[in-house]
Amino acid sequence: MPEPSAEDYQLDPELQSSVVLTSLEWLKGWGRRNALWPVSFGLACCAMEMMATAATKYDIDRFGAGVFRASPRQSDVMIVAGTVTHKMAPRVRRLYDQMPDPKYVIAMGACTVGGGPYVKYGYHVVQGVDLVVPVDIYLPGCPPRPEALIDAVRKLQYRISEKGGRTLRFDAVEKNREDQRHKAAGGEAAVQADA
Amino acid sequence: MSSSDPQAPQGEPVEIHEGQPLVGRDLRTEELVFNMGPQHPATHGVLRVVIKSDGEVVRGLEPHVGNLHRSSEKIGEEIPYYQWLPYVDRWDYLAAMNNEHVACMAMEQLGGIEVPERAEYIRIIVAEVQRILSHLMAIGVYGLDLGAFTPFLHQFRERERGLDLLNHLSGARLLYHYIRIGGVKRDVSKEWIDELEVFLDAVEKRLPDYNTLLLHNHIFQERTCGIGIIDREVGVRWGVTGPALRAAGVDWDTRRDAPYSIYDRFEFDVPIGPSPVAGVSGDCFARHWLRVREVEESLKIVRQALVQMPEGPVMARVPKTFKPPVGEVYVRGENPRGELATYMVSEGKDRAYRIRCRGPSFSNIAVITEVSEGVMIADLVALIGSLDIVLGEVDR
Amino acid sequence: MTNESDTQAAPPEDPVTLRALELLRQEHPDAVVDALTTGRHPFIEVTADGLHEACVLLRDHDELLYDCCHLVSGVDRPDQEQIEVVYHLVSYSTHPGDAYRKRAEKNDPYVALKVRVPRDKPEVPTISDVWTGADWHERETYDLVGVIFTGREELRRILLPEDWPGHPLRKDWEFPVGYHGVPIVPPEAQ
Repeated sequence: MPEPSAEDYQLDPELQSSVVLTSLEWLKGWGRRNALWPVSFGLACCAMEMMATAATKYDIDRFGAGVFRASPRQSDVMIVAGTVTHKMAPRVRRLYDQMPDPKYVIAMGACTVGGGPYVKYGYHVVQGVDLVVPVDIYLPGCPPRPEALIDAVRKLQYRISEKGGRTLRFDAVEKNREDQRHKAAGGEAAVQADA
Repeated sequence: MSSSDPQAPQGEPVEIHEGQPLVGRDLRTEELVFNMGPQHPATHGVLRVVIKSDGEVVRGLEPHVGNLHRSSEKIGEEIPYYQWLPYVDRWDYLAAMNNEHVACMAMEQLGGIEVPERAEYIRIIVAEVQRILSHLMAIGVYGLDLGAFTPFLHQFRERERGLDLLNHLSGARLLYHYIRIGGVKRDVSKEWIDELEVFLDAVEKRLPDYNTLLLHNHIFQERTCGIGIIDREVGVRWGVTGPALRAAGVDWDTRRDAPYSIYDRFEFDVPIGPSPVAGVSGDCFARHWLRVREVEESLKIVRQALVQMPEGPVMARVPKTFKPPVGEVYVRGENPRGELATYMVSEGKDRAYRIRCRGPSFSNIAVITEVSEGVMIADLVALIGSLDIVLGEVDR
Repeated sequence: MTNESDTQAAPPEDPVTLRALELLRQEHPDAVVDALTTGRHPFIEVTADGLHEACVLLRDHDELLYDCCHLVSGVDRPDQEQIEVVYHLVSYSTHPGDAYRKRAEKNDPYVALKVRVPRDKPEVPTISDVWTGADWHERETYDLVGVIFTGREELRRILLPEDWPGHPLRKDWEFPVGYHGVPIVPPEAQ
């Protein structure tokens, strides 16, 4: 995260240690990314790796993201860790809606990224959690290593610093659903047949 | 509780004695129906429990499962046996090696494949190491459910060591796909065995610490002794298996009484409840104590296996396309959470005709419908935590 | 079930299934249809009507004491127009021990019962009053395979949502287009 250095603004050397010149956007982003409180939303096997990341060997608390809140109303980021099924999908949506803005979603594990090993014949598995909630960071793996989850959190932090930490809109979910319906109907072959 | 009629004349003044519930003509109480889960820090996954309660006391509840139903049984009918094997890890994701062990045994019995000696010993070693890791997790997370954060962090220290061990062997930390049809994927090396012995010594050294933090802890005993009693008759009728059943005094361990693989070559005790430390038969404390004891017994088994293990191949000659003849098989094994059983039907093709899995946690969680009458909500959390369920095998 | 000739040893018969079969034939001869007592998976096939009394006998008889219903499974067989419901029963009160294991091909003293019902009318009486644990297994078999268990409290789905279309583990089940707005891409389109 490039912090505006004193040279850019030609500050007096005495003032360097006590004054920080920055933009409000940057400051908001800095506050948001260094205190990302996840809602504890472990669904399946990836939850075990999420717990391992919160434990002492990998310790996600170093990055500010270690305070797992039980209630979505007190959290910033939803790490969807584990397979989302059709029975569970409305609850995921409801929890996402209960989170206050600005909110982010990390899709952890192959099942949330695109259905995972269950995408082809698993009838009850949602083929990617981005059909239910808008996703900021996709983290593949089955399950991803704790280092990979830390990398995902770091990437989210970079993204917040770049874009000021705004919540993604729900249009993304609608677009994903349209893509899936298109694919189910035969994809490119259907388009060419119509043409 | 019935509601009192606000139009009725006021009754005699109610004298309040200590310990007496405060119900008078002026106080109106109702039964409250509310929801616990599927997102909840103490339900061990996506379990939803609909509770009907009178204040803090549970009057009836119903568990709703199926939030993690991943249709692995249907997938088993669509893809070949060996391709389906990784889905087996994901049933009980904390005991992946044990799941694989049972499923591979079922397939080998269907296909008439004999597993080499060394592979059997390696399977027992990794299965028991996995049991140790699973019980450590259960012990730590149970403390977390009751509000004790320290044992959770401490057990992760040993668990990380064990996960690194299995990672060096199979390539994955949690879901290994190591036990294959006909043996195991690759042989163990001398360095790995040294690492294993370091792990065993570390666990043995740390177990008294966990006991100091939990078993001998006065607060833990107050919260678990005499709570959530599942006695023998209730447990057997509901199909409860594993530590939850042994804590009730039922003397059955599939490894000793219906031994599969080569478990009959090892000497180990089977602890049964009640615990001699505190508590009564079938309570939460007995289940927890049993898991700690089982870690000690697993350490014994692994050490014996290391001594007895012969040299040799680790994989039988299995044809590239595994097509077992027409038949069916039912295999059960002792998983850390109970008895995992697989019923497989083969019609002579390269994929199964029907695979049905019995996850032990399915029956273990069903029993709370009966034993939770009159239990406080905090005790309900202690009860669910002591049953040590994993939703992957409830819903499959 | 067939005996080999004298020059070849007969395959070992499973003692627990044999004993259960003898007692069943003695007490409820109409219930038993067929049995296989050799091999890796010996079973006793009973009629749907005789299932309940057979289960009560298996649970209560002093020599049998099968006090746990371990598993209830449904197997769809469209080629025979039948659905098989398979019950695996287990005893925690009797320990057959080493003597049993040396004699049988399967080393596990369970007993398997099978009931075959027609595919267009798959009704089986419930045994959830014999073993309470069978309740949830029956619900699952109804949910996934579509077997209707009669004589019990309301049969509800357990794993799938209440309004899920069809019974997925039937061989002729098709993927729905979507569920409550979330589209599903079937395997053919992938």
